[in-house]
Amino acid sequence: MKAPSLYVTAQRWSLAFLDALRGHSTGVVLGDLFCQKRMFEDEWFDIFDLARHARSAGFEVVLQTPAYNTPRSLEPTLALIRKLVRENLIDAVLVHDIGVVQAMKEHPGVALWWDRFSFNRDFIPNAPLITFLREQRISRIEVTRSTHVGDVADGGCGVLLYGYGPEIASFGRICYTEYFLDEPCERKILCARSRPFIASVDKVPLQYLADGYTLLDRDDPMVRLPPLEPTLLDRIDGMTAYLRGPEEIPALREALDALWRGGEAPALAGSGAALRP
Amino acid sequence: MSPLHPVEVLAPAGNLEHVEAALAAGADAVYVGLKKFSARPDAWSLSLDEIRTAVRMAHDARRRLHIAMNAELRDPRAADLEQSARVLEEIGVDAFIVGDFGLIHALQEAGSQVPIHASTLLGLYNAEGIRFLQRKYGVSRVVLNTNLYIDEIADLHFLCPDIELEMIAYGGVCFNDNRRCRQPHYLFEGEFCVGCKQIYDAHRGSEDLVVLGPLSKVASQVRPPEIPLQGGRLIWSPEIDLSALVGLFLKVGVISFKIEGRTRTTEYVAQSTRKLREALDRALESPELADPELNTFFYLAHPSRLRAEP
Repeated sequence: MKAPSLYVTAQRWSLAFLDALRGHSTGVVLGDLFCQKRMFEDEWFDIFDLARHARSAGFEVVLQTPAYNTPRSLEPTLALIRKLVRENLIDAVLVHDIGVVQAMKEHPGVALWWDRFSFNRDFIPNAPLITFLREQRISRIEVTRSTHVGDVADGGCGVLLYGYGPEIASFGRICYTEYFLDEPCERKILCARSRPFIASVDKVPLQYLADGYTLLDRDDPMVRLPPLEPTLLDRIDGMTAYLRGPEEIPALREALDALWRGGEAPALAGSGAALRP
Repeated sequence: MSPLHPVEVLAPAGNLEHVEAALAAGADAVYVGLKKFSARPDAWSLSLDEIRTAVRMAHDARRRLHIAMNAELRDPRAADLEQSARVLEEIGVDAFIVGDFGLIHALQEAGSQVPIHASTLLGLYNAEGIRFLQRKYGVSRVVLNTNLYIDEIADLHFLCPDIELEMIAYGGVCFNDNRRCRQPHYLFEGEFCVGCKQIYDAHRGSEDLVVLGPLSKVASQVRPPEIPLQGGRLIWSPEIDLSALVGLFLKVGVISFKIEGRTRTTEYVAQSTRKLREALDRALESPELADPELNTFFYLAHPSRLRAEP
């Protein structure tokens, strides 16, 4: 049984968090889907220090591109990628739209991974879609359900399984904080204090935790690890995880080890493992 | 303004009665779902035979019929895609509205020549993605995501001037994202239920209400004000004159104004089509729209410019 790679992203990155991850993760995912204020102290500027530190610690570095790459935001994102490539600070990019994939043709050495939020609603990875993505140089596809592992692997694409963290029910472009305060948030309430509020409606049985830009199912556990048949483990190239802070590392480790209960639990591929684009 | 295609009101239809009502109310084009390929329940989608009839009705009235193929399919090819596409092409449908890159790929493999309209579900937000689909798959139209700002729509039009832009102008409200949403859409025995159209209460817990007011977040600035109705549902008032908004979007390059509501009543289809028809006609007749001096009105009036003024 091969050891899976693990890629960790965080609610908020720091150099100390990276240090705490040593030996537990293959790579780190830098970049927030929506708002860099909440992931970094100094927004995008921090990404270079963090990437250099991650590199020196032997981590692979993955850039998460913003969820919405409009004519306004695409060029700054591409400029960031160019600089990261120039400084050899990036191994892979998690992409959300086909436009970014096209723009990444100028960086053939950077792996392209199709993010789980690139899919429609209750996504089903059909065979023509996987063929389409492979033709566009997508080497790994992130899925959220173990039932989709085989579909993607059978299509000849690498599989990333989102294994640990909250499941997002929906997300939008406008920050809930800004929406309610009607002013720039500057991390005033939701993101900084990690105090999400609950949005509920009586007419239909829906209740969500509203946190910045996202709605999370209120009743879902904040951490999850999908049940996984042992035969599927060998078909996974890597797992992705979202941690709120370094204090969650032991729980992540315990959850991943539990995957192999009944058998010998292999160590996760540690920092410095070779990237398989 | 010289649109690539006649400016149109695009009406929804979940059955042939809807098609008839939409055409009578002035729709330039009607879209229907194909059973098994539609993101709406099959009860609100049409069979190939029904589509044949609908095409005849539309073409007899010199209008167009588009086919929504936006379901999530495990294997589009297994669902008789090739045969269905061939039959639809023979019938003479005017476009496929496609919501899956895999389906676009499969249609090309099947040799389909029917124009493809890229659904919002493809998540096209930038010119790079649009140009790619146009070049490789012959996509001729993009249905704009409802959370694009109006100046971003203008940018897309300037950057991709030979792509038709369609907007969801009436009826659809996704308060987050109409693509990346895993909220349940079928809550009641297969009934299509959109949680986005409900008004939410914001609170920290059952006992601890936050004084933020009801949550009816619409993630777009392209909407007329929404009106809360009894029962906690959002809708746009029939009293609101949409012509000014329609005129703005005409100016930034939108040529198709789509109404959502394939699962609604025939009365809704007729009323909303009539309302948008009137708004579009008024906008097209307005002297402001015809005046080339006013073509930059939107940009001159943009809040970001106004803030920059001393």
